[in-house]
Amino acid sequence: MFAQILTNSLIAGSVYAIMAISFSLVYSSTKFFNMAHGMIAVVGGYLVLTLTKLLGLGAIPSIILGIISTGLCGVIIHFIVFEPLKKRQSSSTTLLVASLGVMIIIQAIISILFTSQFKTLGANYNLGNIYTIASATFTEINLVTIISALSIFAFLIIIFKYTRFGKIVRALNDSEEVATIVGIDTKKTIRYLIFIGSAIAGVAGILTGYDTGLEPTMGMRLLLKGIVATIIGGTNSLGGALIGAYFLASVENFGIWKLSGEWKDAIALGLLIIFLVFRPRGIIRK
Amino acid sequence: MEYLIHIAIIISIYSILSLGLNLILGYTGQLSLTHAAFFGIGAYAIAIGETKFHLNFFLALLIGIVVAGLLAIIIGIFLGRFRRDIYALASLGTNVILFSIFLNWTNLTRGPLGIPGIRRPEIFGFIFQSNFSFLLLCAFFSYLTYTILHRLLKTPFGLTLKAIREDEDVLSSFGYKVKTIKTTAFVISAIFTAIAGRLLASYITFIDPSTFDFNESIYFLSVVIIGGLADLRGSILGTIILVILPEALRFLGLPSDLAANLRQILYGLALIMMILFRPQGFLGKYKM
Amino acid sequence: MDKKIRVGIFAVAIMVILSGCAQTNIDQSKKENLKIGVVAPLTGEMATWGESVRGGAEIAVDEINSTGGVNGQKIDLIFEDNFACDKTASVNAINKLIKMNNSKINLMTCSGAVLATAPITEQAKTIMMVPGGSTAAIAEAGDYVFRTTISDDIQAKNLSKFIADSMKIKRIAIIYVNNDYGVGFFNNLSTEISTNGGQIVKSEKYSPEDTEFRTQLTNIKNTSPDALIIICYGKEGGTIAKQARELGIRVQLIGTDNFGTNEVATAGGQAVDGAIFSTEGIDMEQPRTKHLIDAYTQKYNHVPPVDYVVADTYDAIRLLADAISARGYNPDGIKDYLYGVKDYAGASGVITMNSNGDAFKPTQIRQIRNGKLVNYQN
Repeated sequence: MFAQILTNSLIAGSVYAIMAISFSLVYSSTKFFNMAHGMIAVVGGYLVLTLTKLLGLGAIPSIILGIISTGLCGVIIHFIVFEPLKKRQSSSTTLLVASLGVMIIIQAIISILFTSQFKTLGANYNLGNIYTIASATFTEINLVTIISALSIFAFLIIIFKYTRFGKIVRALNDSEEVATIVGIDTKKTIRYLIFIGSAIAGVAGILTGYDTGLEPTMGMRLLLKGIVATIIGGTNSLGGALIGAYFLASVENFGIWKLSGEWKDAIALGLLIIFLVFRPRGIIRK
Repeated sequence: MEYLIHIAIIISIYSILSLGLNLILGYTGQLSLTHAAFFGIGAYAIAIGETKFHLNFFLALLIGIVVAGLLAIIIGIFLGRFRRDIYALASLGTNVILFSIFLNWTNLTRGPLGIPGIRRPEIFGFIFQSNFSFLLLCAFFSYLTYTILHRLLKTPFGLTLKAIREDEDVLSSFGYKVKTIKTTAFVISAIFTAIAGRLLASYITFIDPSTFDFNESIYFLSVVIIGGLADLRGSILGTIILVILPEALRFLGLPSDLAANLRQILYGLALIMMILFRPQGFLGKYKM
Repeated sequence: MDKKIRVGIFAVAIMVILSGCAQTNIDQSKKENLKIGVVAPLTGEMATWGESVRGGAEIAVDEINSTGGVNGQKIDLIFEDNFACDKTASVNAINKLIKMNNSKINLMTCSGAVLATAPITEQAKTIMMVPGGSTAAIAEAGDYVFRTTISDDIQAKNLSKFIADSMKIKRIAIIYVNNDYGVGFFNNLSTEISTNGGQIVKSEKYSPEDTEFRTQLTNIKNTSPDALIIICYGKEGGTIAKQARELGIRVQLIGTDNFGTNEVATAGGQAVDGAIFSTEGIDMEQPRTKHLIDAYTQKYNHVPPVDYVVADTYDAIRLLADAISARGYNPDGIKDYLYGVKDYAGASGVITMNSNGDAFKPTQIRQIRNGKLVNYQN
């Protein structure tokens, strides 16, 4: 039992982790809560749906194309809506409200194009491979999800520690003003970061699409979990986002084990509030 | 025309709410995403009060104001420690939690089954049965809200609100108890929202949790922002626009599939356009 | 200045309203087609229901009007969207139908919407007929409220009996959706299962937007039930089945009418093979039923998304037409007629109205095999 719940937490936590990491990237570069970010993940899922089911491309090329396109989507939206506002020195509240508008529009467009009906990615008649370790079971997709989360994390850590790009990003994080003075093209760097962040969010959407399916309304939920995980873990730390995600998933799943399924959302947001009050800088102190 | 009366009732009810929200959003700059929950508290207070305890409308109204007020004090103090976008996030959190309570505390609220059979208000034997009389009641409350807030904003308290929006820190260095003032404004706003909720419950005679989730909070926010921040007339205008819009679409005879989603696109676009090109809203005096 | 403007607007509004009232009285005296309003979820998540209601209604009215209508008057259908069963939208719609269109007979779809609008139709003394809305509470909703859908408590009763008598299963786990449908049905099932000697070893709830049910299912697996009942609202029923199988829950899956849909069969794939479900069901062997489904397929170029809803709506309209024919376009007369309906051979089954205005029809137990909905075979 315990092993299964732990596994469930790992699976759910991995999706949260991918969302949290992507959100963390976007937030640390743009410094506001982009409520449309969840919808970017959903866009990723639906793009792959279009590519595989409507255009008949193979899974791997569709996924790669989907991830890249999602990244581009994120940058384009940022360019059209948020950069002009930032230029005007709009407050983070203004940007948040604008992002709400973007979220509503994307959700409505997806509903029109694909209807609100539930869709799944991948061939879905048969159950697929199921693995069992120590009386805990999980499927192939679950395994892929966990591996993806950890790989993305590792990949990003390597980039930020060892590449020149990573150095620039760290400088930007420390102080945008100083970075500009030193000659770094902050606008371009931010756009790259948003591209990466959106692409990663797309991965979350795609994985969810293969595992449990796509729905236009799932964006907000994915986003909230990502935000809560980021806040728990500390907004400036990738490692924090990862830990926050698994922590959140564990509390949720062990919570439902003892309480009841319908309180899942309340638990997640309750955790958010507890951390906001008692430990706003998150678990990791930097 | 009964249909117009119905629309007018909805506008009056939502105008009370948006006036209240404007008080804290436009005047003190607090971006609250939790107001749908207070809307719900007002509605549930009436529903439970009438069906379980057989109180009359006005007594239930009073009790509801007290409950909403107390809850608002707690939530207001809690939210007061946050600024700006974290405030928005935390208020989203409180909405979700309160919504979960509406949904899952089934012994009190009957959960998703909702509470049917709420009666229209009655005073000294006169029942506000006809929609026209109910409209007069709502319009009266709306007018009352507008007048109270209008007067309030002219008092020293009201002027402080605007100052808080501009620069909190300076104000507190001058010795003003900023947190208390913000909380007071929040409580006032919550109470008016709860009153609106009461009226809605009595009008539709049936409530369930789905009307009070955070998507509604986002809707209320849009009404205030589009109508105009820091100007009470703006809230009235915003309400009128956002209530009439979906009804107008109904009459356009659009293909059914499109109508609902088009409505969403329009109002998302309206929000973004407003922020990009007219950040103070139609009639507002304050740019966010 | 502000005050004067508000008073002015108020005064103008009153004048407009008063003149409007005068206008309405004049309209009533014109002789026109018979109006039947139809409120249904034409857009949004429940659009397949809305489409089915629309289809059933339109086919019925086409047939009636092509033979001259009712007592020489044709029927006009007025459709209103309630935006995926939204209660406020339903209230708006029914108000518009009753007060602006002067329609004294209206169809209302979705349980929650019916509960919200029943007091309005009661007060206005207009007929409300429900072609799609199964919650047990509708039975008590009002004298003027009728339905051709089978009430959930009747379904629960038949299903529980089947599980106990034919399948001989005693230890049952239930996972259900936390909304009015799920909670209502669960309450009905709990009572009926114990009456039939069964035991609910575990029950778990989930939110309508959830897509992940592993922990609830893990709890259920831990109690080793002999069967799992899934009370779902839509296609997530298939996902639940899939995740249950993935976790190693191999017992018989049982669903309610929302489970027995093509959407769930597709979403569940292999996982739902062999699952049984209780449904209103329609008997395609019956000529009048087959005739209706064929007519629908021909008119709209695809099979009905929810076939029993099409049949329920069709029967609703035809019953109303018969009532109008016998008693005129008079709600009180129609009300009396409807309460007296006995053994009416409808496309959805043989209908007898009980004293609550609910259609009493037999339910069916069907099964999913190889992705298709078929009759039950042991």
